[in-house]
Amino acid sequence: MKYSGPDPWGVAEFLNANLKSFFHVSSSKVNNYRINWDVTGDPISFYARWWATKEVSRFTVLRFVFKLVGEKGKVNNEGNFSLSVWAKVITTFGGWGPLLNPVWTLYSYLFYNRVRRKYIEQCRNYILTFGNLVKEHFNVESTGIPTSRGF
Amino acid sequence: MVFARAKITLEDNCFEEEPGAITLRYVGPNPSKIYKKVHELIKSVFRVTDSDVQETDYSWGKTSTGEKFKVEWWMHKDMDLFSYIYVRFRLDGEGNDKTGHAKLEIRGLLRSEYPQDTVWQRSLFYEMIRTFWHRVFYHKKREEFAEECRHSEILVMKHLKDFLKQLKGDVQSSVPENGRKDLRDLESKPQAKQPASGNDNEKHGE
Repeated sequence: MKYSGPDPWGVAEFLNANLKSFFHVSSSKVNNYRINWDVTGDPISFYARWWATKEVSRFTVLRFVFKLVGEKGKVNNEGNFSLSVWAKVITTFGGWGPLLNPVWTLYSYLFYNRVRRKYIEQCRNYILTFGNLVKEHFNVESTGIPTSRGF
Repeated sequence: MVFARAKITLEDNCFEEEPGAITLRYVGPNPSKIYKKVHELIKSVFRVTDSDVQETDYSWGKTSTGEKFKVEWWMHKDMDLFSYIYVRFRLDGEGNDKTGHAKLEIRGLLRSEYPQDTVWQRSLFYEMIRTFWHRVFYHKKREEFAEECRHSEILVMKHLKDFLKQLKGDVQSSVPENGRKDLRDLESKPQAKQPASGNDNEKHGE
């Protein structure tokens, strides 16, 4: 998502304020793990990254990574930003010995793959909805709130 | 979509001849309103959910003269176990509530995928049966899917054209007050008797 106009750094403040409540997770599941802020010139350039983890079942978590790059003017606070989002559905089966691997293969083939497909869809919906919230925050054109079978 | 690590993929344009894309250009007021409309049309015409539409690129700029935007969506729709249509929508434009321009390009692809994960699926015998089945039965089915893809693309364009007419109509309804007065004077003359629905529209307009 790319935006140019007033208050581009507002997106970082928006992410910090809303990630926890949006994903319904505790503080330990969200991290703003990098902020670069360069004030040597005009415009000020900034770079920030976040991750958020949402547990959806005993074996699966959704992992979201946000990357923000942008710049803003010192005088008029106008500028631009580019916000990228990556999301992954991570399934881990721990403690299963090699003998039980075929059991897991059968279980995933018959049942869990279908469940994972739902999680993938749910993951997509999270990104779509969050993108919409960012668009509404900056008062640019957004689409309706997603309603789909996976959410 | 086939859920497999290894697979054979067949891909065709919905519109067979190159360029397999259709384009619509618009010059007029409020081009930014097209964004929401196109997204709604994708969902309603192709009958897909929000998570089947991926917005891969969204650029929106606010300038002193209006808004400048560039958006790209990819829509995915499963047709059966092996085939899906994959359509790219590219929208870009700029302008304000008085004037502007926009361009929409739609390019549809039809893809069929056959899994190749297991030893059986890779065997010569399986491949012979699959090829036979594809030629005899499935080829016709794919042509039907491609036709549906074309129909849907054209339907999106038709609906969008209607919407663009409405957008231009917004400007016509915002003529100065004395202009409206002249119009009312003309309509009040006996030869310009309007049907009931026309009067209703006028009331709504005011």
